[in-house]
Amino acid sequence: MATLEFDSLYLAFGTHRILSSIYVKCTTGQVVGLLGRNGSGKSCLMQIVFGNLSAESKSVRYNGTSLMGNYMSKKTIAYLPQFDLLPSFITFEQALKFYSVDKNKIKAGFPELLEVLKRKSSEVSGGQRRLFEVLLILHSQHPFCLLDEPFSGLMPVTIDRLKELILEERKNKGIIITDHLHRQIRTIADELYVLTNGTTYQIKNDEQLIEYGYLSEL
Amino acid sequence: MLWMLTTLAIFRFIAFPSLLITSISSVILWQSGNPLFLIQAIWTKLITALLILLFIYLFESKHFIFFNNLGISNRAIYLRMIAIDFSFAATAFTIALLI
Repeated sequence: MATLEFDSLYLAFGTHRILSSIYVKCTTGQVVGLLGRNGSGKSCLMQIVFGNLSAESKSVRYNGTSLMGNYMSKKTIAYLPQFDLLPSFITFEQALKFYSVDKNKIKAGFPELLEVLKRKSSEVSGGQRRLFEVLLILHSQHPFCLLDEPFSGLMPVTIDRLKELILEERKNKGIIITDHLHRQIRTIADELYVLTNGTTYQIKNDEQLIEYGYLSEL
Repeated sequence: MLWMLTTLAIFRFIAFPSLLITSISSVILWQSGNPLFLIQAIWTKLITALLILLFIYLFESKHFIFFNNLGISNRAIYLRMIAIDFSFAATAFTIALLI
């Protein structure tokens, strides 16, 4: 079982403090949900952990060992940003080849995507593109995935199937997920954190979501 | 093989403008028939490459995450783009001077 944990993060834009007191731990076999209001720093946190946004300080550890320097090359963490992942000139089929993902895995869960595999990402609908990007990251070889708003632009029936797939993939990897569809996140998350005022709080019961100002009612 | 395919895919961020500039510079070099134009052609390539990379940095670099997930850092992405661009330019300029 592998572990990814991060803390001692500090990020500020000018005098505006974004992240200051963070602790999140995820092990393979776990889905960790991260909730927070708009502008609370969820996406910044994911980018810092992934390694493409620098922070004034951070500690990201894989199995207890600090990840330093250009640790992207170790292919420990795959990151799905909230905006488009695929460059417009890449076809879905090429993306599968680059990420060493078997086409049959896509076929098994979402056969409707097969007909658009030869198209470039700019030639399909936003929902199809988002679904494919989530599948690409979930089926990648990385032991940990960071999913930033994976459900945005997807229809409810697709979200339900995707949740099943996330729970299936959880057997092989650790998944940290954030989305504003908090009910969907709460149904699949083994651990839940709320990010507010630059601090993460572990959620033990639903009432705490109101206490920390994330929800007004359940 | 995958390394080469990835590098070519990365080059596609700048392929159109950089190949266009290489082609125009090569044609001018070939028509002038004067090797002294090579210095101007190289300077043109250097300055336009910097401008293209600045454009990519400002407006397209968010798409680098696709390649970051493959273990390629942003610095390596820029280096690969420059390497391919100048390899094509060196080949085109050599051909323009020889024919």
